[in-house]
Amino acid sequence: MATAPTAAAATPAATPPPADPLLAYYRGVRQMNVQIAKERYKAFYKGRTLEFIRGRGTIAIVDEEVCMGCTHCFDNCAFEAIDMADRKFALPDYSYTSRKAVIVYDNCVGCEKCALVCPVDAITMAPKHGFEMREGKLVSTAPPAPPAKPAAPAPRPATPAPASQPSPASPVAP
Amino acid sequence: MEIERVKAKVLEGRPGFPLQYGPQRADHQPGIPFWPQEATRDFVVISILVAIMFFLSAYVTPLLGPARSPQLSELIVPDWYLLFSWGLLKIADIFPQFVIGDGTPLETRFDAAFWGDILSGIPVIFLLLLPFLDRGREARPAKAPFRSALGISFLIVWIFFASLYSIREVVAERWQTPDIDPGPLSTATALIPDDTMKLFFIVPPVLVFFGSYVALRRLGYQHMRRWLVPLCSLGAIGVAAHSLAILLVPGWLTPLAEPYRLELVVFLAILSLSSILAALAVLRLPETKARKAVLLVGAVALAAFLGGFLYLDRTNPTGLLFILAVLYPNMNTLLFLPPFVIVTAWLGLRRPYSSYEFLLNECYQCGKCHTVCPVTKVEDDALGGLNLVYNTFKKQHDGVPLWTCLACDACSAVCPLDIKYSDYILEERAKSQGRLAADGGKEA
Amino acid sequence: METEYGPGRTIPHPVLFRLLDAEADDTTIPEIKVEHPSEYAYYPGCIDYYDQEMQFSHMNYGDTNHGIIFDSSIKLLRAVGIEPMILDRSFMKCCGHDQLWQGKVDVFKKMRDYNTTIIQKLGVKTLVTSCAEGYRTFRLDYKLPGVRVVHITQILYERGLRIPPQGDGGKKIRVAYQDPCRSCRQMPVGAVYEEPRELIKRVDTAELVELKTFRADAQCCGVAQMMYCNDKTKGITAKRMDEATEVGADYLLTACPKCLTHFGCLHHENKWKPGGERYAYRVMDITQFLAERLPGDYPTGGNVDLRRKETPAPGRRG
Repeated sequence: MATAPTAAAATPAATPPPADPLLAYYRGVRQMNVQIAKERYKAFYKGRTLEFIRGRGTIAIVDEEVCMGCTHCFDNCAFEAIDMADRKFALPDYSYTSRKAVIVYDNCVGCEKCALVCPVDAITMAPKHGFEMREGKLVSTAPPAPPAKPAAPAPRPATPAPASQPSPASPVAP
Repeated sequence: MEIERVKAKVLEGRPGFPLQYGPQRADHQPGIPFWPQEATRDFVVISILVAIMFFLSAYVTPLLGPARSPQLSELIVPDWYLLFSWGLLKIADIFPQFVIGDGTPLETRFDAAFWGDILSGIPVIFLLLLPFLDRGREARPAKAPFRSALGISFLIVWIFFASLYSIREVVAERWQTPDIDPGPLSTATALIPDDTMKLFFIVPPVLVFFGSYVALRRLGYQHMRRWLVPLCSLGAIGVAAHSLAILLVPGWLTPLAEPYRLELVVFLAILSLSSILAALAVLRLPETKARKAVLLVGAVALAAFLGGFLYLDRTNPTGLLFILAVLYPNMNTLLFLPPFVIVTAWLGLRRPYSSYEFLLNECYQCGKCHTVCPVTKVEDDALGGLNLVYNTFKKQHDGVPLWTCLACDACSAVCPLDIKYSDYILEERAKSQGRLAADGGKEA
Repeated sequence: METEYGPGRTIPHPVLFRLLDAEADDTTIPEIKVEHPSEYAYYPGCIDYYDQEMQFSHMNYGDTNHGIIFDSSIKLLRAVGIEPMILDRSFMKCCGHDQLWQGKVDVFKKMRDYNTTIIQKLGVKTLVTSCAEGYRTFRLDYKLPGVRVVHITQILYERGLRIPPQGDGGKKIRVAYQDPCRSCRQMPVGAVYEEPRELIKRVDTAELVELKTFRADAQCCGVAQMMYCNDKTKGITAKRMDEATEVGADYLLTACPKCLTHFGCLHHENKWKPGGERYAYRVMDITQFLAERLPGDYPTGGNVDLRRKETPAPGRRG
């Protein structure tokens, strides 16, 4: 077993452990099992993150054939980048309405959370337009922006105006 | 309502249930192919029956000597195939004998002759009445254990012991003076007292009845290996034990064959080793490897045996004669058992038996399974409409491929033949993954 | 997507199966300290794993609660006077049912040998499971001489579980029961048809209504042995859940955590828009149903997953 079970933490309601050793045993075993399940799942989900690329340059893609509309991805997207589109399924003997996941590409940031939780592996992460995988790293393919032009020098202050210009002091004939 | 929908489909002519019946049917008729499945089965059964006939006439007749007619001999011995009748006639004296209506015109004598007639007619009458008595629809012995056990014990064992009873004097002669051919006037006394012999009519048949009933109930539906392992191992042990006894037990071997001991050892070794190796292959190796191993062992043993014969024939003909003199009287274990073991092992490991084990061949395409299967109702490719089990047997997974089956056993719940489709699915899935399942994961 | 099983067909829940396969790889038998020896043993199975598998979704937030099956089973067993030893996941492995039916027989064999050794070592006489698939596997696919394998409904019925009157003013709730394939049709011996029904009848406010197909004709929940999860298997599940709607049930009970998973998933999915609920009944396991109606606390303290404070509304919470 990969991870050893850790000792159960006290329940948040802070009830004292029951005096009866049997009840203490049951409570202990129960909490230990929840902890075990949590830890093992954490480890394996962590391993699963290595399967997908993620980050600014990635985007999620849903395989519609595989998607079965369970809304796990929808429930977990923090960026409102997944929507569920209603679909009707007509099977030979039965028809029902369901839904399929649709990625809203404007909002997707490539955090891969949807790909992680999809139970049927319908979501894959792919490089966005303008990015590509080079030697295992995601790099941008857009050309670098040209350096900003230096600002034009300030025009020299004009020499004092010739006498043709009326001096501001002289009053203008009404 | 389901029935309405089904009717509608049929009337619409949609693919589902066939609209044509009878000889004009244009769609492909399903059936078990004659070649090689049925041909193999027929060939095996015919060979077994012919072998039994040959065995009996070759083995029994020399033992008995020629038939002795009442005119020539006090000891009456009919031809071997009527011995049972003679035995039943002979045993008739155990019945009470009395006369009814003595002295009147309607006098009836219930004497030994009367009882003997009735007794010797019983097997024949029973066979005549059998179609009327046995109303079950099952053909496989495993599915009708009572009838099969009855057949084995009373039709075979009883008749065997009846025959034996009739010739007990001849058997005694042969036992006491094996080298002398009994003449027409020999008068040896029976080995076992008469009253004890009569018990052989009841006790062995009853024991065999219970034994075969229990064996059929317990082993009837088991994996073929459960049959193969005892048969092959016992055969191999028989050959090996007999060979060792011939070689090691003093006095067993004819003194005349002594100088050719080495050649005898070689022949016996070929026979015993081939059976032992075949039995070991059945026990230890996985199925495909075992098949190949058994074939190899059989081919090599046959080549060695025949090659040895030819070699001896060229170099030492007298030696060959004496070896035959050892092998011939013991042919039932030494010469018949090794081929029996090898052929049984090879036939029993063959692939067609897998579908017979799950009873898929019994399907008569009633279509009930297809009606209740939840997957066929949602899969787009649910063509054919017929008998999902039968299509699987023909390896055409119409509509429910191997992997979409839920193994919910709804089909088995309605199947009139109780075919366990999910057991088949389990085995096939494991096989496709390259692992043998059989018996749900236990060692195959 | 073309896979080895056909187009669009993959075995779902990859993390769960990878985890179980990895667990199976470690075949060393550990030293087990038995805190509470008993000849009755309760095997929870992958209950908590299902909760975690649906960790990021609605199902772990109270709609469908797998862990409560563990707690309810212990409460019910104590109510009939059994103090079982718990064969929990710190030293046991998965029973291997799914691996066996997916064709991974070698993985199943490792799990089976390991579990059998431990069960024999601990001297268990009665093995109680709350999972129908576990029941079938332990009973038919394992060789456990001297051990009696029972489903929890069987042992509760045998021991005469009594549910006190609920005092709800005579209002009857309509309870439908789903017969799991594994413990009913697939069992040539020991099929569990009547015991759960009897137990439901003992609740005085419950009125047992039968679905359109029941007992041996009962339709499967749709995804056995986690083989697929796609539109078509969902169709099977939806069809079954429609039967419960047709019959006007208030509760849909089952005796198998897998059935609970599939019904629960579809149940939640169909109310993803507030106000758009399709199935008006609650889906739960029979042990939870019965334990809720027994007085007293859960001896195990209830499902202590911290997130289960209350049932939140469906929708985004990522």
